[in-house]
Amino acid sequence: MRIKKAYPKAIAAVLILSLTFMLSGCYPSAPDYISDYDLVYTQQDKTYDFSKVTTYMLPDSVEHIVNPGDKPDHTYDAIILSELKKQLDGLGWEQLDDNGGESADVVVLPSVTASKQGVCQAYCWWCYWGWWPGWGYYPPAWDPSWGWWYPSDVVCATYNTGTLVVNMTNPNAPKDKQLPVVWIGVLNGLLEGGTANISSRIQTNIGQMFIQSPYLKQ
Amino acid sequence: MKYLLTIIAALTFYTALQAQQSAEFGYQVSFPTGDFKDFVSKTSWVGFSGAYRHRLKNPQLSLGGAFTWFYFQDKKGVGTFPTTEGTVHGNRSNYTNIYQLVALVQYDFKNPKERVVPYVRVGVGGAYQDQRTDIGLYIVQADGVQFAANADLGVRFNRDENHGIFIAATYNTLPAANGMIATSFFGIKLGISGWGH
Repeated sequence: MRIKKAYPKAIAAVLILSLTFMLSGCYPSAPDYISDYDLVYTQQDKTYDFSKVTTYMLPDSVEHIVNPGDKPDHTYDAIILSELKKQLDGLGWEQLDDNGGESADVVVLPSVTASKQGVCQAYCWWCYWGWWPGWGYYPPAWDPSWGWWYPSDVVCATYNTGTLVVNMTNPNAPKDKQLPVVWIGVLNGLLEGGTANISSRIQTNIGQMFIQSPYLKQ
Repeated sequence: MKYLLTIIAALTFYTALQAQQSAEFGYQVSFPTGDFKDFVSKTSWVGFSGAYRHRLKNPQLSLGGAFTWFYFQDKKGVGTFPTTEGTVHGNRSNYTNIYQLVALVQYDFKNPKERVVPYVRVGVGGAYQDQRTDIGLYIVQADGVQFAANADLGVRFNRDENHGIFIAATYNTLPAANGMIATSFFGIKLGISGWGH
């Protein structure tokens, strides 16, 4: 048998040649602005009653989780701390002095990493926050064997670039040598652009953490 | 899996040539429906298909196979949306590539050599789909193999015994599988076809 017309053969040839192109697939074009890569993620411990929170403590520094030998960049620490204070005050919560002799309902601990880091990776909690004098108001005494306790369903993503993680802890209810995290806010994005641009994005996105967590304000 | 589909599709068309049957090429515009519309609400302008059919003793009945590629995308933009665990805010794009291989049964309502031939076609087979959501710097992906089925109601306009064009209304459905949401869409398909002997 033979093909009388070349038409079907030509169609088949075009189709077969097209397969390579097809199988590479299509993907959306890249976003236009650096801010389009910003991501804010929040999650709360659904068993925790935020309506009872009236006081908080916020250390006067931001912890930087860096690889050995790397120098942390503290350029944005002041912006982070001031914006967190603004937002926490906006909830109607009162900030307590970590030397004031009184324990607060929650302690808010901001950490920054510019490199790959899992959000709920069991990094050395004590190494970064063991120094803080505010712990002295909470029983029992902490030691380096303590760690974080996250809600069981928290998304333990690994973030690759600039990441701010805000852990809100409840030091009044430690259990099994773990410090409960009752709320987590994560800001991830590219550390690119001018200082003013990055500062603005940090402020906007910290604000977004609280906008999308209305249960904090009750 | 998609490479396996490629090989099968290539063999299918090779077989079509050897068997000297019909080959066709189609372009399709698709409109998401059902749960899939929540994932991608935008019309897809990327849909290409190739098919072959073998006429049976009853010339109005033919069997064959088809390979189809669809691409859907929906740039949702910056927004806030809940997840099962928490809440995410960012610039989100949903998109999917679907590679589908089905066996076909077609019935022509007239003698297939007439100038205008209405037909109905049903396809059943499998598909590899890669559903993704880009948000910020992250990609949430669900991919795998699904059952696939489609139905066409169309008209073929024959220029002569061997050449023709066709237009068809089509519906595709792929049930949820491997974390992918159920996929369904209507479409309008245009194409050319040719017959060998």
